Amino acid sequence: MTSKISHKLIVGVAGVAIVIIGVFAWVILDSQQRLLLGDLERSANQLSATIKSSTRDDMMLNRPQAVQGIISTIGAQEGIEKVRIFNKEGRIILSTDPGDAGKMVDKKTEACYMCHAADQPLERVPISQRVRIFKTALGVKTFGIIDPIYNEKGCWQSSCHAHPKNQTVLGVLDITMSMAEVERAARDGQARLVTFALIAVATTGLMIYWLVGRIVLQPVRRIVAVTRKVADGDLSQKVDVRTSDEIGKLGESFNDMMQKLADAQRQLLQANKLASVGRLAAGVAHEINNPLTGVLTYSSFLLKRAGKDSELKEDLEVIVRETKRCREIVKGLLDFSRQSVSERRPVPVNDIVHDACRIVKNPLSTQKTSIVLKLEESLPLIHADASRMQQVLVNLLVNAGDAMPEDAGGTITVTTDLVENAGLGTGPEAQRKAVRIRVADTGSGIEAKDLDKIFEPFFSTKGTRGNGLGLAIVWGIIEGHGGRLTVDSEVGKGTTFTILVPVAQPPAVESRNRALP
Amino acid sequence: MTGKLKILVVDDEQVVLDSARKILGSDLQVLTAPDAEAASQMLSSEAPDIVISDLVLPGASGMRLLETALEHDPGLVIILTTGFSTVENAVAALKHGAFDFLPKPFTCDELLSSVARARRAVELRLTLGARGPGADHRGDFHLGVQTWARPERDGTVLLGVTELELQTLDRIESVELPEVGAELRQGGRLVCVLTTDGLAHNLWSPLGGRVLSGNDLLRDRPESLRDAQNGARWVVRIRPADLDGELPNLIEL
Repeated sequence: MTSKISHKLIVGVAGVAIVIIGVFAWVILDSQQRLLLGDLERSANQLSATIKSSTRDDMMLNRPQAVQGIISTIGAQEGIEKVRIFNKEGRIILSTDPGDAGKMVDKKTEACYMCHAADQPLERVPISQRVRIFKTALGVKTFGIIDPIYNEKGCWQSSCHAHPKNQTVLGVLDITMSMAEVERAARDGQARLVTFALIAVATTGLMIYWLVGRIVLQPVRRIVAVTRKVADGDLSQKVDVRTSDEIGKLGESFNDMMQKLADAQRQLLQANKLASVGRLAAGVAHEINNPLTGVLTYSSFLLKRAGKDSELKEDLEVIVRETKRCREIVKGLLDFSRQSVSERRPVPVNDIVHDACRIVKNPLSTQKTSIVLKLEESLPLIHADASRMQQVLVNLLVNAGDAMPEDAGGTITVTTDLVENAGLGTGPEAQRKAVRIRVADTGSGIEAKDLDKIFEPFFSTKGTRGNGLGLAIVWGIIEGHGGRLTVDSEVGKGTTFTILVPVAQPPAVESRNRALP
Repeated sequence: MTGKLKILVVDDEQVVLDSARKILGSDLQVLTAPDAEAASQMLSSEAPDIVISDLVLPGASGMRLLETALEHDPGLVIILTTGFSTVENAVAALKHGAFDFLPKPFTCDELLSSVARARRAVELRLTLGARGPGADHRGDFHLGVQTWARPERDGTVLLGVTELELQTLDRIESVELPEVGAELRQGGRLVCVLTTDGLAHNLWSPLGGRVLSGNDLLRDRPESLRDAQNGARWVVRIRPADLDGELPNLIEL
């Protein structure tokens, strides 16, 4: 795919360059040719004027030999083919080619056609009409110019009286020059231009290749490489965004997408884990219930019959107590596996916070821990199962209390506020508002290595005091609400749990604001 | 009634049958059956007074057994034992005429207290069919013969113990109420009633919800639970979690 883009671009750009440079070269060549031709014209005209003026005296004195001498001298110059003088009838009077003298020129030939077209009488014609370009019998491209010799007073008054007074044109001076030199110059120019054009096209192509490679292909290749790794299952990959152009934006949105995908996958993984642990727990609980029944009934029966044997009674009490503990663990497992968000309806979040705080207030105050509420008023109702949400908050508050140093206690701050565009769910759902509940403690904090695991079932830092299901259940409940639960923690400073729960639709304003309990 | 009452224990776990025999054997004639088929035969051949059956049985469910047994003898007192995962089924069983249910694993005392109430019910012939106009409140919703729920206009619900159930209890020594703010579940424990015979009776909640207040009168005068005159019979007031979903599991009077 990559090679195709660069190939297409190079072929396209080179094509455009060839056309532009071709037209450009043609225009330049054409004007160069015109320039050369103009030069030739001017010098031929000048030459013919020179011949006319330098032969004038000899003409007047009727000295053909002298005229012949002059034109022979001039005609011997390089580049001049022939210099000829015709009389009015077309007979060659004088020529640099001795063989031509006395020959008649057909007035229909190209040399004469300009002036004699349609049998028009000879008149003064502009220079452009007096020049001609033709090929000689030898195939040499030749430039010709004719210059009429007009009658003047000296001519009919001269002693020889060769020309009557009423004759306008006495004859024609015709000079032909080889265009070989001009042609060669034109060819040289052409060759140079073509070379230049080829170099320009090649250079443009290479530059485009390099630029496309640098600006487009390399970043695209990087993105492709990342997508391959992602396809292989590594969702942690990120595109190294180096520019702010479209490709940079593509990289950014790719990273954004990956972030969301990774989040979604993590949530899905967690949900699956919870579900499978739930199934396992249910299975284990079911299997273990019957043997537990045996242990519990027999031990409690024995305890009843132990009578006065206090040592036996104490031992049996341990068995009964521990078996009851097993029962509570199994019950916890089953509660966990059966957790479901039963009924969601619009509920005021601050009321739930108040209720949860009231439940944990007494145990927390014995731990010297106080709760500070920073609840935003007029929050919209959330779409939630109130008892489940309360369970979540009680759980988080109890955890926060447990995280406090035992002798000193601490402060738990519960904050509620509104978040626009919470990004919960996908599509238009993501635009929905959500209520944010933060439970921040000043406790011992959670080590970074444990942060990923705290929502996993059976992960506990409380030792025998916890079953490791609390946060997994909390996570499951928030997930069941289409919300999000995140945690930030710093060892020694404290932990903040942040809950986002979508607001109820249509948004209704929480009308009641209850006083603090 | 001559001699001991007959009790049939049905469970696919031998240890449960053995422990039941051990615990109940001194006062009752204990019969056991490992599956529904054997239980059905026992029902017709031995005509027991009380049946304790697991809800999940090989062959047929305890529910099916309950239905056929009640068809055979509508006065039969049936206690179902259940795992935690089948509380909904237990609630349904109460609606269909079971006397009580006992979540597994249970202690010796839990079994004894349930059986003690069952014995009293047999003696008094108190079953669903015996429920008359009596002291029970019209418009209440009953969880079997045990507890009732009374929806109030303000959206809260009062929960209490039925007249029938109270008759099966010995003199009440104390009533252990759930704490305010606690979360009740339908089929979960509503109260624990301690009686002077030394038994602790777990009575199951007809509805799930959050406890708003408890009847404090019961703390000082537990016997006022029986007192219908001044309306002291209620136990707790709750805000129901899922009233519409849970009411159909109850019997409407």
